[in-house]
Amino acid sequence: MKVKIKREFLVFFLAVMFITLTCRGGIAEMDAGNYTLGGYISLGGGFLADPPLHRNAGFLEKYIPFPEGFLAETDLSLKSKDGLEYYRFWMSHPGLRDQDFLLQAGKLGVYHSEIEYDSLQHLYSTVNPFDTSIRTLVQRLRFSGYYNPTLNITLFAENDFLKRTGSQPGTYITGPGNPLNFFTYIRPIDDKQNDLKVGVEYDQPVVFQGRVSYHFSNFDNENDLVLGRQNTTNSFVALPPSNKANYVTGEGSLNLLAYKTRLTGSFSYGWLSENDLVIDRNGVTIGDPGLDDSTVNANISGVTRLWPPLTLRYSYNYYDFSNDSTMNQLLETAFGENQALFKAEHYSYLRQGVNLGADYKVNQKMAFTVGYSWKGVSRKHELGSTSSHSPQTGLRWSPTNWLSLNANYAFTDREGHNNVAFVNPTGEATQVPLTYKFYAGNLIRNNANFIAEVYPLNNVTFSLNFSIYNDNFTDSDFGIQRDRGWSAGADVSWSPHDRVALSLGYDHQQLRVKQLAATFLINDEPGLVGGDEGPTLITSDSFDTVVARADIKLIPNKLSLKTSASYSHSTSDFHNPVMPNLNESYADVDTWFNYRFNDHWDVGAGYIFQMFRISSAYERLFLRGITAAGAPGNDQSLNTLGGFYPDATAHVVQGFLQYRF
Amino acid sequence: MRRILIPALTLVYLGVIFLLCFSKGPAKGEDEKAERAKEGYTGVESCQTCHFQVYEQLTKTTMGTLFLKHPPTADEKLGCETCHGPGTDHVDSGGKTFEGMVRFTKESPTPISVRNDVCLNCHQKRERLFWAGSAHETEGLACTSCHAVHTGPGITVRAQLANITVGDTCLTCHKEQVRAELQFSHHPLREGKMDCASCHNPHGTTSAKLVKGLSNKELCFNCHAQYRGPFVFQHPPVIEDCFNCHKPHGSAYPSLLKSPPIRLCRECHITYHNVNFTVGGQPQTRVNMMAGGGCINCHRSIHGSNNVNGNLFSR
Repeated sequence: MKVKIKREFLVFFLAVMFITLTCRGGIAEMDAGNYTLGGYISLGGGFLADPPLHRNAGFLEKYIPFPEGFLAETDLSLKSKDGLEYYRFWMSHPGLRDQDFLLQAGKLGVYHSEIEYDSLQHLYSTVNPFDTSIRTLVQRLRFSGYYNPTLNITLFAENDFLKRTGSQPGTYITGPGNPLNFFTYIRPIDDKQNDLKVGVEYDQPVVFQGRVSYHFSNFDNENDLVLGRQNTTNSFVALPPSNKANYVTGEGSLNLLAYKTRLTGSFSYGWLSENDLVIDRNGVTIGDPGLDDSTVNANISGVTRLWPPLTLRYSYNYYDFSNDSTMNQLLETAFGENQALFKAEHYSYLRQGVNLGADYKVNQKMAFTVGYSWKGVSRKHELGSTSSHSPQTGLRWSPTNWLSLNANYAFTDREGHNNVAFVNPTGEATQVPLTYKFYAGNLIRNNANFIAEVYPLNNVTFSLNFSIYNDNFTDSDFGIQRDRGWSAGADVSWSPHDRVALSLGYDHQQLRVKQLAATFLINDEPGLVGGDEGPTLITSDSFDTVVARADIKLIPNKLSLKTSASYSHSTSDFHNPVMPNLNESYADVDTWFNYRFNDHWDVGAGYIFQMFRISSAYERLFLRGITAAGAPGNDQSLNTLGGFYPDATAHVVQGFLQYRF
Repeated sequence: MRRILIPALTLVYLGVIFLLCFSKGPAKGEDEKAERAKEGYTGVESCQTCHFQVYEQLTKTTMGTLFLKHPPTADEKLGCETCHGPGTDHVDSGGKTFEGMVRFTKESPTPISVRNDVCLNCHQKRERLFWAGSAHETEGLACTSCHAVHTGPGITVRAQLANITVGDTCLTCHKEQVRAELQFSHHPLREGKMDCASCHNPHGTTSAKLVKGLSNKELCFNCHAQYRGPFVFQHPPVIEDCFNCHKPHGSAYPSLLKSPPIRLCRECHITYHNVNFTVGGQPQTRVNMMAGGGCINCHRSIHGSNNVNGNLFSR
């Protein structure tokens, strides 16, 4: 193991030496006029012992970089002496790609405001020889706040701004002519998203609450390259178009005290638009589409408790998505004579639901729940409709003061119509594939969950959980046939001493999906449907997860140890000789020693271990780079630069010095 | 017609609610509350005598600051008894009886709905608007199942959680979902950049699974608006529900996909290119074409395309 002492650690070491020379105490809570300053400042650093190659670190650094180099964290608060007015500044990892800054200000009962800037990376690939860090940097600037001009009225506003820059793995094809060849390229990312929400709320405590709000969301693709890969005939890919969405929402709730009933209603209307450039495969701009969608959402619900042991619940919800672009000239031209496809893609749908439920409390220890739900979806252009009926039941039972049981079961019968799309009635050659929309077909679902909590001793908590589901896509000749799975877990927490807290948990999850595919090809044998000669495709996934934690005060008020560890392993079996099993493992250990010198000074040292493993077969299949920047690879078994990552192990050592006010 | 009728009925319903609220005055007048305060209520000073540590902790919280130092309403002037009810009998009995009091411990005989009403008297607006009838309310959860008022590991964090993190709080019941963050493909929860409450409002929503948004897709578009469209060519499962293809809590496959890419598409599309499936026990050709991204290698713009030649989402 190579250990490199960095400058930051030298500074840290000297700082610790300095602290031990300082006198104990000092300031209990720093007074600043009419305010009191509190919180802490932590300074320190981290370094990688035996650092992994950058190429191998992709998975471990997918969202945040290793905490190495200078590290700082601060949480400072300034409160007025009367406790009403407050300011807070929180900061974490300044200068790193996961940096976060938060500033809050407010006066209790009057207003609150906060502004936050934070960032993270999305590292897609480290294995490409021409760009060893294909990633986007996501930066977020968020503002939110509210103001109470009176006790009953709240004005609120929130603005969330996201900026993504960098690159992403991309692919393109050069058809027509050879549509089954694809090539890779590094796709530029430069877009912004802004979500603004403003509203007013009226609250008459116990009696009525109402709220009206407006939400404007704007996505702006700033990349001038509306094209994926330039200067190659037949290879232009449209990047995500800029678009806008607006929603106006009204919500209200009323307690009818005389009837022991609470009624709630909401209504929302949204309109969405997109008018970015439309191009063709040669990169020629065709025009602006001027596309529009709209949504109407309404919800009415109520809860009644006329007789104390019995609670009645009822609700109706309505979601109407309307595609308002069906008369669009550009679309008509784009789809040409293929109007069936036009209708199949630009359709509207209505989703409705009714829920009825009753909760009967037999006594202090036992309660039953029964319910019934109906859900219906209808799609225009005869593109399928579904109707689901789902009775449910549940039991909560605490037979003793050390045992609590919770179980529920739901059965769903979904009936679908017209869920088979693109059938060519004449059986003529076509390139349009036959499609079974699994989400619109018949389905029988059984779903059960069980949780038991046991408190055998005052300092021990034990829980067991089990869940199972079974989805049968009955009457589907092809596509997904069955999806079933179960999971079971156990957790125990134990505090053998008031200075020791231990916990351990284990979960196992097993999933199995069965599909039936046709044996014919799109271009060779079109239009043949029926029979069961298609190959059966089975995918089995299993997940095992172990987590453990320990929190030990080794020397009261002086030395403490906090450690946590987790291990997750998954196996995916494709039951197919050309698709080897996929095994993935991830483990981490995070251990911290904290030593408190006095009321103000702490020093800490931590060790972080992370490990990722993936089946070597998948490393071979998925992780090959391309032969030249932006040029097609000789071996197209590469994918695509993103998705899977090589094996990696990392050991990070950290230390900090903390001053608490 | 339905687009007008249903919303109109809903608006009428909301209007009635609004009118009803103004036709009824507040449940109890301020004077009545002040009067009530004299009957059976013992005052904060009595509570402090025995519950000094709890009192000290409470003073450090937002609620404690308001109740104990700056009560804005007559109700809140009652201090501890605002929530726990009149405590004179409790004090007189030397702490042995709890007659008429509301207690929030796990063993408390006070019905959970009564306990929750105490909290909801003040906290029924904003995120709690749809608590009544929500999944958690139906499951019999008390506010204090997830939140701490006086003491607890998460007393100093926002929302005064019963556990230090949001994930730990949800883990109590939702182990499968929370631990999925350890799977290969995951949202940045274990990295501390998101938590369960980024996507869910545990207090109740009008949508299924307590997601923040009118439906699942509006939830996802909060961060992934690049897939919102509308597009020239649209992929039907995308415009209905992102979760037709994605598992938001964690997956063994890239991009939180439910199944390996090559098989996911075959849940609907059964006629296909000759790929890596066996027929008669023999592997078929073009294994390499379908590796990694599988179908997405060529049908790249699977969420929708603005290319007039993108009818198969390949551009």
